[in-house]
Amino acid sequence: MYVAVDGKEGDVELLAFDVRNDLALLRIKPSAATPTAKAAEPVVPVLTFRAADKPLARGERVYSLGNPLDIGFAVTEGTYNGLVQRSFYPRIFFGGALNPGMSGGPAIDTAGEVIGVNVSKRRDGELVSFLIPAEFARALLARSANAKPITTTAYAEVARQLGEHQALMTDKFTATALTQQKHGGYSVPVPADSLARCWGRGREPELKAFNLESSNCQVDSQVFAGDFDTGFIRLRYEAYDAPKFTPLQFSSLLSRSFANEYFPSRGNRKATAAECSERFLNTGGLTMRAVICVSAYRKLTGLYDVSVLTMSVDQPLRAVQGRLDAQGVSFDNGMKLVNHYLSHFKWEAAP
Amino acid sequence: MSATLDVNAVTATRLGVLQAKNASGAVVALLDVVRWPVTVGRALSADLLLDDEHVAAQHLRIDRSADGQVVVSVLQTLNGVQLAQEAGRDHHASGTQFGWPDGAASTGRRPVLHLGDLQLALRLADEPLAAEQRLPTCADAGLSATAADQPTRPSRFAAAPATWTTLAVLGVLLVVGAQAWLEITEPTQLGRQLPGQLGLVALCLVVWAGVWALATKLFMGRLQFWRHVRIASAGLLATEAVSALASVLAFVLSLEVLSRFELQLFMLCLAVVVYWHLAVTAPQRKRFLAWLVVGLAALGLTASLGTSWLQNQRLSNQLYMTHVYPPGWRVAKGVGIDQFMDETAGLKQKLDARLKDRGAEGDDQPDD
Repeated sequence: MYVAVDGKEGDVELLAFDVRNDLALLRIKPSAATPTAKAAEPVVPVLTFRAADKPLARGERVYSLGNPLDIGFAVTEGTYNGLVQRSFYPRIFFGGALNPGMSGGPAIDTAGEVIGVNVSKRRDGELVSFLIPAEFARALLARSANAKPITTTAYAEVARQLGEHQALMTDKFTATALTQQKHGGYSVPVPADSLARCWGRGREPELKAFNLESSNCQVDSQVFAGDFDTGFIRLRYEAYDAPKFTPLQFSSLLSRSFANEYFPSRGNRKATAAECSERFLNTGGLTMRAVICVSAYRKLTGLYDVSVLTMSVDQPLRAVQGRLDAQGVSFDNGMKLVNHYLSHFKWEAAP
Repeated sequence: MSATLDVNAVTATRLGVLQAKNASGAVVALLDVVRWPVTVGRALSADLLLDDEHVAAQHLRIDRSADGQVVVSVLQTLNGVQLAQEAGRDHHASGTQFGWPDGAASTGRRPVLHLGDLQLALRLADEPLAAEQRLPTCADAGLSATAADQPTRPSRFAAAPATWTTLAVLGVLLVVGAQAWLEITEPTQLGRQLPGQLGLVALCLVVWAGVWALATKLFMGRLQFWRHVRIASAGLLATEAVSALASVLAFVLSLEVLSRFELQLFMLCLAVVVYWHLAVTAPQRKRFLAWLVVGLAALGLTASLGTSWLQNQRLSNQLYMTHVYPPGWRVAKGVGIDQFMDETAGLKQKLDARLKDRGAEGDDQPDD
């Protein structure tokens, strides 16, 4: 159902969707009403796409249209800031305000031509919002303008599109050289700067008795699949170094950290409970305790959440815990990612 | 009867003593038997007068036959009388007669008769008298006595309870201290937290042993508090040892299954400790209590394993081994990535099985 600017309502039907770009193609239902009644129906304005060969310049005015918080139709003004760096799929960085309810609305230039579609914003910033470039909407329209309306649940199609997504993500991750991050003799893999966003590296300052360095990296390729985000890779490290501890105290510290990791032990609507396999693992001159846990998506057939958790066990007072989570990947790609990840751990002589 | 009756004369002719005791063991009526037969009843004419509404006016007549056997005739009574035997109680109804057997060789004590809410005990003058028993002293309960205080006892046994109690309690406090020390993450933590933790454990120990001691007092008439402290402490130490051993072995040998069932191991240890307490509380029913504890433990194990199975199709909710120990302790060899990945490939089949089994983890379950 849609509501026009003048408050009149009508029905819509879903023709196609693009999960990777968070787009859906809707059509106003052809009315069965008599010609006289038809005349009373709202006249829907038609927008045109801005030509692809006329790129916007940074700082150009952009207007975003939508119905924020269902308060009423609104036009918000902002600026075009180019494409987001390190975004898995191209996204326009919009320097304006987007609010819930505006998603799917058009963003237009000063000539009234569509340059993108409202999609999201950063909650931890101000006026940091994102648009989907119009080319994807244009492509979807060209592809599916005459498609038959979708009337049933379309898990198979969602799974198919997510399958393409995870294949691309896995290929990119395994093809890009991992960089090595050093933690006192341990060398652990992190994705290249061009592929992932990393943060939180450094020593925790409030700890007195031992040193803890933690870091996080994420390949921001998540897509929204109905009611959850999936299709991304996350890495996390905790490096412990406690020269003042005894080995037993140190292993107790590590045990608590190793135990304090979440895996779904119970199934839910989205996915099954995890199945895990674990081992002492020799790789790159060090021994690690490694746990691989996998859970299967229920409706998105062929997709899995794959995680691997490692804890080095070869130095009495030094250790590094690592974790890689790949959400929404095929089983084989999950194994490929884990293998790629595990084979990049190294022990190098202490500095 | 003359007021100046010679006490010695009475003593000389005392053939036996008949005592009626209430449920808590206090003597409520006593008869010096100077002639046979004697009668027992509520009527004032009865030789042993029992003021109990469940006792008949003339309830029993007790006589001795020529061969010295004590014979009990049950008179006009509704409730009859019960003879406490080792196997249970023999009921004797109104109008019957039975021999009151001598004490069993083991106890040397004649069984008691139950009538109404009372117990009737009989001692005969011509019976051999059992030797004097030592009082259950503090040493028995392991309070303070040492071998030096108890020269008449074999010293090893005199020292044992007190020493063992002290050792067990010290052991518990040591384990608590060691655990606190293991978990230090900042220098001043131990000093701040240890006193509280020790106090809490001591309080729990006292309350636990205290409840058992009260139960023992109820059934056995003695507190045996320190004995229960000893049992609880030893049990706690054993439980800790079993759990530590299981998780160390799991790590050392990479036998993950040992780390999966911490809860069940704890339940088994608890069952042993509870049986131990029960055996002190009611030693005469050890066999029954053993079966009771075995039954409860089986029920608990089935419930915990069964719940986990029904909810998650696995016996343990522990997905992986969470304990690590110093690297030098490891005996199990590490494997290469390829072997590990080959093993992990088997997870796909397990997950397919989970996907098929929709009954247990179906749509009605809430999301995380």
